[in-house]
Amino acid sequence: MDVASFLQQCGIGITSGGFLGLIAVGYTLVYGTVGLIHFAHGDVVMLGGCLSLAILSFLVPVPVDPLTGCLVVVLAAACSGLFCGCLNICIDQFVYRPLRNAPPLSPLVSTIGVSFVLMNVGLIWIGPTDRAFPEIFLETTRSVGGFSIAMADLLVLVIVVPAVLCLYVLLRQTRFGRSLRSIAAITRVTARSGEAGKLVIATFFLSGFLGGVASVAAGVHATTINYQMGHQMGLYALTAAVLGGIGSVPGAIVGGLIVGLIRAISVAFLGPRWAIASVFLVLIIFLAFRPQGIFGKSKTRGGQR
Amino acid sequence: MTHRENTKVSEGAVLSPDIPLLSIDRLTVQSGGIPLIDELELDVSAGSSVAIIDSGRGSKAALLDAICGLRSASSGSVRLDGRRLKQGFSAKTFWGVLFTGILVGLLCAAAAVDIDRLWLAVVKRGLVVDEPFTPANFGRRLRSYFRAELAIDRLAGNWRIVTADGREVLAVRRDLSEARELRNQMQAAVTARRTGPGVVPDITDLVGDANEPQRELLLDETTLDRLAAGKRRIRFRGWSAFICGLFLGVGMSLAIWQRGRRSPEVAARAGVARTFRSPRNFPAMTVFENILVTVEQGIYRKSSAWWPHINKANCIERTEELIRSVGLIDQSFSFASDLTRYEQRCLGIARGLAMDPRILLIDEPADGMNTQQQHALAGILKDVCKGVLTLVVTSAGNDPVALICDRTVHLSPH
Amino acid sequence: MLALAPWFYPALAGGLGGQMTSVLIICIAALGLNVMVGFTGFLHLGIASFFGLGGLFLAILTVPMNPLEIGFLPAVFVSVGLTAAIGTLLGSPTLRLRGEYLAIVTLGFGEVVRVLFLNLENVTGGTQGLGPIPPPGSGIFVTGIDLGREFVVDSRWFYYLSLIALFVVVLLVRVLEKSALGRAWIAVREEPLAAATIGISATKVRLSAFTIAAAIAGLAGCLSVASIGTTGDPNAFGFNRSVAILCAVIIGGLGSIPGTLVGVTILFGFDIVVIPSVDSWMQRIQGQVFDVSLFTLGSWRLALVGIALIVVMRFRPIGLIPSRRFAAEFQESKQ
Repeated sequence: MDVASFLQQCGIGITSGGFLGLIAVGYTLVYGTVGLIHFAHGDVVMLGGCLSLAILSFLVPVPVDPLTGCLVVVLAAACSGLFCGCLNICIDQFVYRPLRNAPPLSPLVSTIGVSFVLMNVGLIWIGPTDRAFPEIFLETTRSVGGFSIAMADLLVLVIVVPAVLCLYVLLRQTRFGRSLRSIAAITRVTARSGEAGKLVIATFFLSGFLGGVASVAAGVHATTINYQMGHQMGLYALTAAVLGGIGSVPGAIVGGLIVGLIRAISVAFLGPRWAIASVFLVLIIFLAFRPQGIFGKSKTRGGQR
Repeated sequence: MTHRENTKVSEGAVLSPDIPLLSIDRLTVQSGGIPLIDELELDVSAGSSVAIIDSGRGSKAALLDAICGLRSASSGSVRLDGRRLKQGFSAKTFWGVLFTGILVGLLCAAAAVDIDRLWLAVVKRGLVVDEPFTPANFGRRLRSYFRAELAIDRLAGNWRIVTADGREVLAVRRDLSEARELRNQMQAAVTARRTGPGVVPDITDLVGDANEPQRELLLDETTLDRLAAGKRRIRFRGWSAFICGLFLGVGMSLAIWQRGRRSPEVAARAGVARTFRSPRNFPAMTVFENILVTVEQGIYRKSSAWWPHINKANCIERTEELIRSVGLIDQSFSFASDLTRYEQRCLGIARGLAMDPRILLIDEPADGMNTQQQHALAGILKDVCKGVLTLVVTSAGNDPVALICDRTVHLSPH
Repeated sequence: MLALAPWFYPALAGGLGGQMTSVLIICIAALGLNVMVGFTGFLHLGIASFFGLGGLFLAILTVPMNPLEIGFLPAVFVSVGLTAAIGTLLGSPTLRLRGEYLAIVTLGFGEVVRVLFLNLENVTGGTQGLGPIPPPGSGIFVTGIDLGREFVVDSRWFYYLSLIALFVVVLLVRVLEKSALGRAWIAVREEPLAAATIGISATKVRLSAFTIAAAIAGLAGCLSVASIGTTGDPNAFGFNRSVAILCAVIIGGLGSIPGTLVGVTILFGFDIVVIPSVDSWMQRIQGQVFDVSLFTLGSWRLALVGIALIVVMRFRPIGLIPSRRFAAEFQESKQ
C-alpha cells in the first residue's frame, strides 16, 4: 500500500470520524447531565436519516451543481437536526423523566425499549433493505493536487466542520454552554423542574440536533441507509464517546476522529470484516493504560462523603 | 509552612518503648492546592490509643484516608510496622504479568499466522484426504504449515496441490498418487530454491504440458521465489507478532498493577480497619450479615491459602459475640439502613473489630451524638478495645470518647 | 425466600415444546447474567457472546466434521471450562474500570466474538455454522433404544434435559448467594468503598462473578446448540440477544432468582410464543372479515417488545418480583 492511498484512506477515516464524533457528542452530553447512556440515540439518528432521505429525494431528483447541492444538503441537515432534537426531547419527557429517581439500571431498560420502538418505526418507514441516498452532484470526484477527493467526503466536511465550530462557540461563549459545562463537572442533574429541568431539555435538543446533522453526513458518506444503521453507528459512536472520556465533549469529537481513523485503516489493511473488532481492541488496550478515557477525569479517591 | 503538630501527653499514659506500630513521617495531604495536613509526624505504639483533635473541617478525615489508602498523599509516608502500605512486587505479580504477556503474545501470533487457515490446514485437511487423526499426523501437519510447505487438497473430485494456507492453487490432478508425486517434486524444487537463492532447480517437467486438459500454473522463477520465501515470512510474522503482543501484555498488566498498588484493600489486608463519620454500612444487609461478611473477610485476610476454608460455626459465634459487645443484639436481623444513627455507628465499630485488625481508625465517633450516647460509645471502646487494640480516634473537641485515649494530639489550625 | 416456583409443565410435544425449551435455556443464561448484574451490580452487555462461545466449543468438539468427536457430557464440561477461562481472561484487565466503561468493554467483547464467529470460517463455519451436532446420548443404548435418536425425534427429551439443567443452576446460584462469596458480591455492589476498607478485593470478587456468569452462559449455549443441532447464524449471539436477556433480568427484578425466571418467561415467551400465535389468529380473523390481511403483528414485533419494556419500567421500576434487598435499597435511596 503506497503512501498516497494510505493518506486517502486516512482522509476517508477522518471524514467519517467527523460525523461519528457528532453522534458521540450526543451520547456524552446526555450522560454528562442525566447520567444515562441514551441507547436510543443511534436510532434517533437513523430516523433523522430517513427524514433527510425523503427531503433529498424530493428536492434533488436529479444531480445538480455543487452550490445548489450544498445548499440543499445544509437545508436537509437543519431539518433533520430539528426533527431529531424534538424527538429526543419527547423521549426524555415521556420516558426518562418519570424515571429520574428509579434504581440505577431501570432507565437503561427504557432506553432499550425506546430503541426497539424507533427501530421498528424505521423498519416500517423505509423497509427492511438498504435504501440508496440520491446522487446530489453531477461529478462524483474531483482531483485536488494529485489526490482525488470524493464529492461525498467534501460534502461531509461541509456539514460537519461548521457544526463542530458552532458547537464550540456554543459551549465556550454562551451562558447556556457554561452552565452545561459546570453541571457536567460537578454533579448529575436529578431535579425535575426549574433551571435544571430547562437545562436537561436543552441538552437533549442539542444532542438530537447534532445527531440529525450527522445523519445526513452519514447517509451521504455511506450512500445508503438501513433501519439497523442506528445500532451499528451508535455502537461506534458510543465507543468513541467512551474512548474520549465519557462526559467530555472535546473527548467525544476526538474519540470520533480516532474511531473513524481506526476503522478506515483496518478496512484498508485487514478488510471490512474486521473493522469493529479492531476498534474495540484498541479501546480495550487504551482503557487498560488510561481507564478514564482521553479527556475523562480520573476516579476521585476522596473519603469525604 | 509551620509544623502543625504539638503533642500533649495526658497523665497516666504509658509510653511503650517498642517500635511504633504506626509511624507517620512528614505527611502532606492536599486538596485542590490547599494543604489539609502539612508535614505531620506521628508515632503510635502498639496497644496505645491516640485521640486526634482538630476543630476544622476535613483534615481528620483526610488523615485517616491517607493512612488507609483512600487518598494519596502528596508527600511523606505512612508505615505500618515499619513497612509502607503499598503492594509490593511479589513473585505472584511477576508470574501474573509474565503470563499475561505470553498469553497476549500468543493471541497476537495466532492472529498473525492466520489461525483460520491454520485450523484448515491442520484439522480439516486431514479429513479431506482421509488421514487418521493421530498426534503424529497432527504434529506433521503443524510443522509443514510453519514451513510453508505445499499440501494436497480436494475439490469436487479433483486433487489439488495448494500452498499450506490454502490461498494458492498450483496444480490440479485427477489421481491421488499422481498428485502426490507432483507435489513432492514441486516441494523439492521449492526447498532447493530456499536453501540457495541462486540455485536453479530442474523444473522442466513441472512446467505445464500443452496436452494436459487442465492448464496449470507455471512453476516459474517468481512463483518459486515466493513459495521459497513463505517459510521465512510466516515465521517472521509469527515471532514479531508474539513479541509485540508480549510487550503489550506486559505493559498492560504492569499499568493495571501500578494503579492498584495503593488501594484500601492493601491497607485492610495489612490490618488497618476504619470506620466512617457518616456510617457506611451495607444498607440492604442485616446487621448479622454485615458483621458476618467482615469476619469472613478477616479470615481470608489472615490465611495465605488461595481458597481458605471457613469454619461457618466459628464465624457465626464470633459474629454473635461482636453484636453482643456493641449492644445490638435486638437488631440482629434488621437491615442496616433501618438502624438509628447511634446504632449504625455501633455497627461500624463492630465491623471494624470484626476484621481482627491491628489498628482501628475511628472517624469522629462522637459526631452527632448526645452526651449519653457519647458516654455509651466511650464505654464500649474502653471495654472492648483499650489496651488490646491500637486505636486512633478523631474528634472535633474534647468529648468523652476522646478522653479515654492515652494520648491527645492537636492538629493546630492555620 | 425459598420461592422456587413449581415448574410443573405438562408434557409438551411438537413445536411448542421446542420453543419452551429455548425459553428454559435462556432462563439459564439469564441466571448467569443475574449473578453479574444482580448480585455484584455490574452491567454486562455481552452475555450472549459467552452463550455463543459455549455452543461453539461444544460444536467444535463433537461435530463429525472435526476429528475430535468426544461424547456429549465430557464436551459440555470442556466447553463450560473453556468459556469460564475466557471469562477470566477478559475480566482481569477490565474489571477495575468504572461501571460504564466496563459495560462498553463487555459490549465490545460481544461484538468482537460475533465478528470472530463470522470471519474464522474454517473454525466456526461462518454464517452457516457447524453442524449437525450429535444429540446427547447418541451411541448410548438403553433397553435397546438409541437415546440419541430419541432426542432428535421427540423434543420433550431436550425439554426435560433443559429443565434439569435449570434446576441445577438455580440450586447452584442459591447456594452461592448464601455463601461467603455471595455476601462479598453483595457487599461490593452496595458499598464498594466500605467493602474495600474491610479487605474485599473488589476486582477478585467481580472476577469470580464474571467467570461464573460466563460459565453458566456457556452451559446454556451448549444446551441451545445441542437442541437446535447447529451453531447457526452467529448474529443470533450478538448485542441484541445480550440486551434482551439483560432486559429480562431487570424486568423480572435484579438479584432475585424467581424474578429472573419470570422476567425471561414473560419477555421471551411473549416474543417467541405469543406473538406468532396472536398473529396467526389475527390473520385468520382478518381473512374472514376483510378477505385480505391488512395488519400483520409480526412486523410490529420490535415495537411491541419495546413498548412492553417502557411500560413495565414506568410502573414498576424495581422489577416484577424484586428481591428483598433491592426493595430495601430502593426505599433507602428514596429517602
